[in-house]
Amino acid sequence: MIEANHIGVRKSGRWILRKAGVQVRAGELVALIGANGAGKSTLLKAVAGEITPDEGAVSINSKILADWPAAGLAKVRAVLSQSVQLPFSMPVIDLVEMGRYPYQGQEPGGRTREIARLCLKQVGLSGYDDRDIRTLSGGEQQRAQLARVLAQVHRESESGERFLLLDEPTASQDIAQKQQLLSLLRKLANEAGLGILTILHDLNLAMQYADRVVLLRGGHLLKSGPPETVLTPEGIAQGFGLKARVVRTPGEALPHILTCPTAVDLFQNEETAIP
Amino acid sequence: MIQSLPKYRSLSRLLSPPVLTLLLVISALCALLIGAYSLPVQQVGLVMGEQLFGLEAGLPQTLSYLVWDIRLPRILLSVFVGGGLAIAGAAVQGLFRNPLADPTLIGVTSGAMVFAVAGILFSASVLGVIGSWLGYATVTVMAFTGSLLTTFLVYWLASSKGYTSVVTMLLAGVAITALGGALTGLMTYFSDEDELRDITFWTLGSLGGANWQMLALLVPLVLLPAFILWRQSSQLDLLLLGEREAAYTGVNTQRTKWIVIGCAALIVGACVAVSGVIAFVALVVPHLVRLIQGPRHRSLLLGSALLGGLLMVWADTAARTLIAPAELPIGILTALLGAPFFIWLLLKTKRSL
Repeated sequence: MIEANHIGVRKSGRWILRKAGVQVRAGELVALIGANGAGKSTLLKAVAGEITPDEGAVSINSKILADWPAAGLAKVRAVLSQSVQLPFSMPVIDLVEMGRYPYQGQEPGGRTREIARLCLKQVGLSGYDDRDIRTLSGGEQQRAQLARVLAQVHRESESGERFLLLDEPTASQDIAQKQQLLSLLRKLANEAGLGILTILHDLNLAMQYADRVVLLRGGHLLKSGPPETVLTPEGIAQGFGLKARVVRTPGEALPHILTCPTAVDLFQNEETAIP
Repeated sequence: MIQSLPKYRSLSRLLSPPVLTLLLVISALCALLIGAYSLPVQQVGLVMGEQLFGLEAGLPQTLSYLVWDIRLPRILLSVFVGGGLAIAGAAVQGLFRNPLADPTLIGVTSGAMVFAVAGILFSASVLGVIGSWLGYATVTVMAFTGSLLTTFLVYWLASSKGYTSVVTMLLAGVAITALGGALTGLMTYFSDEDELRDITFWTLGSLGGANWQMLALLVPLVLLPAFILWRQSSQLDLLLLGEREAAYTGVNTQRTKWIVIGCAALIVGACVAVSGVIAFVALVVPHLVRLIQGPRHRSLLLGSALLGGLLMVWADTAARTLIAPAELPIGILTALLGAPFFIWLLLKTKRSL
């Protein structure tokens, strides 16, 4: 289990994250949402261990991040940043194999390749093995990178909780691919027991796929809980300063969020506000 | 842009390490025969037999001297300098995540040169041992210090958060090269005739001074760091994704960075100390190998070392035969061939700069 409590991060004297936190259990898909600048990426980086918080601490499987050896940590959690660019041409399969770095010398090269192929298949890139990564579309590149981090936490016999931390993985995917990607994450959580923490911008995706939603605003934790309790008109208004309606369609289990064209108060023009 | 990679597979097999090694050995043997005086195979064979196995062949002293003390050390030196520069270039390009990061272009060679020239003056005036093993050692230590300092300086100037700005990197190289040129010029201005000859030789690049003492110093200083670099292959692969992603995958990025900077600086420093400034080898060779074998460092570093040695043997053979009995400084030759290549590479990567 990932536990991050009362996380505070200071940048040049200013708190950019304060009393924020998140818990991720194995098999759980947690969506991190909030307006730009709310501190989503900072919290994700603190959980990933890239930033050491000035307040609070992050632990994975009851062990504080600082106590994890680098290679051991890499085996239990993988991180995918928003855009990762390669400076040179490289076959897709080689990129995915690079995710197996923490297991180097512990598994035969043939097995590494099999795992890489399996992960490519999972993200819908079967047969892309020898394609040059730099000739793929933005969406395909992002999925190839996802395959790389999947390979990093892929484990066959050994059990133990493993986690994926993703920074906006649906960016540059089309609407169908977004759904496919989130169903893949859902499936990984359910079947492989991965605990997944992902930043999402699309509230409907969070509503449809997440077990829990963590809503940040201005570096603080605003609300956290099952999607239906967080993604309410009030929650969205508080978190994004946006008027929204939550609509239930007959025959569908989950409600849809419709955002309305008027901002609540954040960007409102004073002249029109005064009658 | 390469569309898909399989078409390079056949070429990749053709230039596989065993094939390159074979080509390297054959080239070195050919180079023994070619020179201002062409030698027949049997005579060279007899000299080698005499020196290696003590077979008395009653050859003239001069022939034995020419083959064993002049040509052979020089050819071996070119193999190690070429291979060393190429492997250092490949590793530095991986670290900087950029194919334009050549030790000469980013100022590392220049930094090494300033210190080397200072070393020449120092060993000549203070130690009085120029040209001896201790003299080479002094110059090598100085050149290494210079290359280490400049590599670190350029990396520090050009990188932020694990990403390198190419423009800053090349501009830092321009600035350091200008400074290095000025300092070298200053020292040149105040040096006597003997020192001047040595300094000129260093700044133009030449393998002409090759001897066994030099080799004894150079070989371990190239082989050991090259081996350490090669052992960092997977870490260098992951650094291609950026420092942050490499760290997420379990790489100790600080450690890797220091190992790469240290080893590359050691190799470049040692090469500059024995042969002066030989530009563009470290740029061209890794680029060719990358085109053929892809950017993964396990094959890239090995391939670069072998191809670098191979090309340098022929470049030096050309340098000493083209205008025989006079000699072209090899640094001039490699710059003449390498500079257009660099311009081509620049045009190709113009958009991403």
